[in-house]
Amino acid sequence: MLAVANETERASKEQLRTAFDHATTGLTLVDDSGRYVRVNRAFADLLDYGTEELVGRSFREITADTDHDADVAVANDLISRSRRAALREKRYAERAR
Amino acid sequence: MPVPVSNSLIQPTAGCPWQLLNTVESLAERRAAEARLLEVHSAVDGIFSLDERSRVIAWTLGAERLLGYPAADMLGQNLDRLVPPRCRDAHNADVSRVAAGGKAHLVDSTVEVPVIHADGRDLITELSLSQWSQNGKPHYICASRGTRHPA
Repeated sequence: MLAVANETERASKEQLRTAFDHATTGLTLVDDSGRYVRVNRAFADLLDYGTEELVGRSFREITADTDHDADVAVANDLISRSRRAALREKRYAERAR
Repeated sequence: MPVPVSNSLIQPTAGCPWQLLNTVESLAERRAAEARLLEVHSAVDGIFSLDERSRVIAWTLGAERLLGYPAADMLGQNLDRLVPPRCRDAHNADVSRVAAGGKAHLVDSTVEVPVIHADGRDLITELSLSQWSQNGKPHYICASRGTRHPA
């Protein structure tokens, strides 16, 4: 019985992971230290990176200087629950060549 | 270039630290669609589309070049202004019949039809008509391959 439950959970996680990875919208998960835990292909393609190059990096490294403060302000608003979600336009840093 | 981003806070499992879930819209698809639209808009053929009542809902530069009417004059107008007066009653009857659910005989075919150029000349144009549907109503795309004087 436990094995069946584990298998169902594993399949469910796999399904979610596949959906995340293959979504045509860019998706990222950032941890509480500001580092990318997971990014999908659509997001990496947008900035001309490989997904593996972005995981573990701080959001600051790929955010345009002009937008750092706005990012932090949004995160603080969300943490303090003064708003449930934020929708805005953001500029990313050009990839250094 | 700024991109639309939405942020929300999630907690993967109870008691775990929060994570920020971000969705970032790629503008690549939109840019590609705009490029395709520009290609159509700049095509040599005159391309225009009509709603179910024969009103113009799109009019390309090619259509302007071939027929002389700028988009600003055509959008929202009934196409019958391009139809010579001698054919207008038949044209409008056909539009009404199709709007009432009748079959559009010219769809998926290429025909030569008389047309009035913006400068008043009575010309013949080769027109291909195809049909698509929006909100359950038929719409038409017309491609004009050039004009000539009647024989």
